Amino acid sequence: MSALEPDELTRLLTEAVEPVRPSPDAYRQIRAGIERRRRLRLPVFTLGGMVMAALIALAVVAIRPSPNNQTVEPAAPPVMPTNYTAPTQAGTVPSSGGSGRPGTGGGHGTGQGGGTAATPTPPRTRTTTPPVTPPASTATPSSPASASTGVGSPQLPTPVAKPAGVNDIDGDGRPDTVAADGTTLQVQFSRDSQVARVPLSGLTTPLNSAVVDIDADGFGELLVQTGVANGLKSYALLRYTSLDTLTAPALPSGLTLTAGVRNDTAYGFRCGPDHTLQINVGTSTDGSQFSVATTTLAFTPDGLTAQGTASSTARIPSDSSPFTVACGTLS
Amino acid sequence: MPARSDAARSDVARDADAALTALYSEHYRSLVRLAALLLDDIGLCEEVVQDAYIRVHGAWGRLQDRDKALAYLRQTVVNLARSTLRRRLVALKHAPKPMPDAASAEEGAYSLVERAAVIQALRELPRRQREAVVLRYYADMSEADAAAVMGCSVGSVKAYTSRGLSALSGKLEGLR
Repeated sequence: MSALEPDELTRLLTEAVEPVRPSPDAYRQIRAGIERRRRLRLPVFTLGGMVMAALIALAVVAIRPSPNNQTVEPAAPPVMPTNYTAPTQAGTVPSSGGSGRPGTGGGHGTGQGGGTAATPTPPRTRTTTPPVTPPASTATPSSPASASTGVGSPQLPTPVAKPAGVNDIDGDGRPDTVAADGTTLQVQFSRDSQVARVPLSGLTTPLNSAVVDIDADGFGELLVQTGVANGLKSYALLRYTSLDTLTAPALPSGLTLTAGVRNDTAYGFRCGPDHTLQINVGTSTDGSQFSVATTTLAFTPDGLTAQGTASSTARIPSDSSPFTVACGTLS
Repeated sequence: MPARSDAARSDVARDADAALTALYSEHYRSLVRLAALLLDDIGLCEEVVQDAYIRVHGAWGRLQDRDKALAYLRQTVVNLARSTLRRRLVALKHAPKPMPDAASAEEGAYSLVERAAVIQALRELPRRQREAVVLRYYADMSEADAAAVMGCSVGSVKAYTSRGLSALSGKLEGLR
């Protein structure tokens, strides 16, 4: 078998297709095909554009965050019904030691009789974050209120006045009732007659407390004496952080809410200007001439934050000792 | 801007029309004959070539090198021939056995081609060998050009051509 030469194959192929004649109207058919394609182009492009627009709209709808995730600030003070109960509080009511105390609000009678009388059930108690308060010295919160109460982000009602009125912790313009039951502080809020219970070891009786709106946010801060030892009085500071919840704000390390003089060390604090809290710590060598370090603390959502420190000297006894408490009516 | 782009589009359309006419008058017949060597149904050859012209005309504005319009046309013809064969193969697998057809007028026109032994021998080759042989020895393309049209390497074209030529030698022994 001899190999087929390329030239010969070319000749054979050319001869084989030689009889093929294109149809005379081929050009017309091509032109018709082009016209058909051109006519189809507009609807196809239009359809494609519509499909693309629909896909983009779907993508936008899918990507856009749901309105449920958006935080909406209430425009007006929410009206809290008197029988309002947070979902997580329902289980705590029966187990609370104080839930069986009917007429707590009336017992402490501070003008809340109308509010509590209208409530057919006894005021429910609300367990509040117990501030970790060493008996003699400091008040340090253990965790944010939201973590312990199970309520999501703290939801504060809108205060009716800034700064808050007298003894007004919950910002409704009416005074709230503060009382002590053993080593548990009980605060009944006039807003909804709920009772917050804060265990404070070393709570002194009779109760020594004051409500001062230090940061002028419309919710009064509660200062309460938690103990006295060796001439030093220790205090706890409680803030209204969410509905019916009191929380002790975190103090910078090394600082305590203490007042008094012991040997060569002295402490005191006062509600300073510009909505701050000033803590004085004095040291002395002779027991009378003290060098005083004054730390100014500002209220932030995370607690109390040091803004600055100033130094001075003080001699005691004197008329204006820096080692006392000067916040509202507290002494 | 829209006015300018409209003008540019109409220029491209005019170019495409002029090029289509020139390509038709120069190469239509040879492309139909090329398709006739690739397809086993000669009736589809013109359809395939006309479709190739329509597609190249539609893509005229996107052609990077308009001097290679003939190469684009050939490539489109080869690709469409492949697609047609593939489609017909699938249709044949699933279609019921057809009744014997009466001879049509076109068949008379192509009877010479149908009877040609070289065409029969070519149809018995595997598709890629057939394409390589046709592009190299009928379309007179270089190995590189044939490789570009077939979408394979030059070495593959050489191998396909060699095997195809060898197979055809055996089948066409009697003709020479």
